[in-house]
Amino acid sequence: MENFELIEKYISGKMTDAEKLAFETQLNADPTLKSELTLQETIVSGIKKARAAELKTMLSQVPVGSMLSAGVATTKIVAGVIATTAVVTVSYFYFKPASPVASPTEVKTKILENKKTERPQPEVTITTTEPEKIVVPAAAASTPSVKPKNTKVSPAKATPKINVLDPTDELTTSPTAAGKTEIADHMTVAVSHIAVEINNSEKTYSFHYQFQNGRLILYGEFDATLYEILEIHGNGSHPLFLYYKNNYYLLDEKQTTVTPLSAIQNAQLVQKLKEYRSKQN
Amino acid sequence: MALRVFKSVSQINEIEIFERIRNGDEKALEIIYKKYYRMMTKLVVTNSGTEEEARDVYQDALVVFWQKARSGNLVLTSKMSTYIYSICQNLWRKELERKKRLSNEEKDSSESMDMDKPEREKIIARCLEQLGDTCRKVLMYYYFDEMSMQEIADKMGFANTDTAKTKKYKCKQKLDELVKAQYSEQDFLD
Repeated sequence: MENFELIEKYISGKMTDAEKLAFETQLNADPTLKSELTLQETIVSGIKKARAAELKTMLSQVPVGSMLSAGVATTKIVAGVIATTAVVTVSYFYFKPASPVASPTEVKTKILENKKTERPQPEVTITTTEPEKIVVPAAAASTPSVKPKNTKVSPAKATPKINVLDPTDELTTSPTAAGKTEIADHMTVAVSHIAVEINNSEKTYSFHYQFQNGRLILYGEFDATLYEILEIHGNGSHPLFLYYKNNYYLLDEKQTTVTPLSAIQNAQLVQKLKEYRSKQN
Repeated sequence: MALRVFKSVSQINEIEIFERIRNGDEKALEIIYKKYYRMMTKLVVTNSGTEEEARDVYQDALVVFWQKARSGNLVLTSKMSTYIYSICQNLWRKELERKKRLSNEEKDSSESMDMDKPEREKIIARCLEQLGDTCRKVLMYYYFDEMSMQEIADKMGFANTDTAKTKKYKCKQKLDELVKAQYSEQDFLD
């Protein structure tokens, strides 16, 4: 069956240019071969069509739930929330240095809400970040009662117990309302000796960080000479702050996933950090 | 932040799913079908297509994608969904052009053109059915999925590639005979 093999090879497009030319010359001279080729082409194309139809039938049986009738109207909702993951990134509190004894403690919880949004265009998956500030009274601090919809607040991170120290308390030795927080009398600030690695090869992470195996990894175009890691030593806790180009960033050592860095906005905290920084420099 | 995690997870899945499709895993194709159903069908529905047309185009696109992935020549440089989306776009554009042409032309002139081609396909499909499951699958895997003899042997549970080769050859011969028997050569080739 020499012809059979030649035809197969020809149809599957596996012939070299030379072989093809020779075969086509042969075809022109041999009508029987030509009609055999036509038959084979039809059969092979028929097999392919049958297989395509089989696959389509298979797919038709996959339950998808028709959303098309409502599709246009619900586009915006669909684009809205598919999965919502919210993580409390930064949680710190502070006391007013010269406040009267009864002054309530303010707890500021900054919640970053990341919504995974599925858009109809496949190219893009975007995130919308909606920072939200919630001010709750001290009594409610340990159990955040205000929960935005679709937002999971990790209790561990929302309680005042976390390794957050108020730098201002070093100056005010007066007892504070928040009994749970033990502020060290002799807090010191030092340049941290934590191993830092700069990774600027990840294009998706322009200004992010993560902790990995006790090392801090900074993502982005960091100028190695311009950043400083400040470690504030307190009772058992030592929050880390990143100082970079006149901004301060809280570094959560529990953060093992890549996290965007956002500058601390609290003017008082920034002021205190500034003082610490100038002190130790 | 959480999004990043999600993205990297979905990227791992993408690679894994694509690999499974390349290896001829139909279940993986079903997963993809479900995952992007809404996204892809919307493209057609919002561009003057019906739901049925949308599903048809999407299924055709996935079949094209499957075959390309199977051929081993497809290197994904973008997300799988982006690639499938562009196939859908192309297919739907062609279909719209075809419809436009049809409505512009007088119906009687276009009718005679390709009447017997689908008819021939039907005949071959019928003959394939007559061959039985094993032969049908072997031939489809070989000609459409472009599986190697080793892959066919694995998938069909044949002892080795020689068995697969012989099977394929015999099945093809049987099919040829069936097709030829149903039609005189003249009928078929005109």
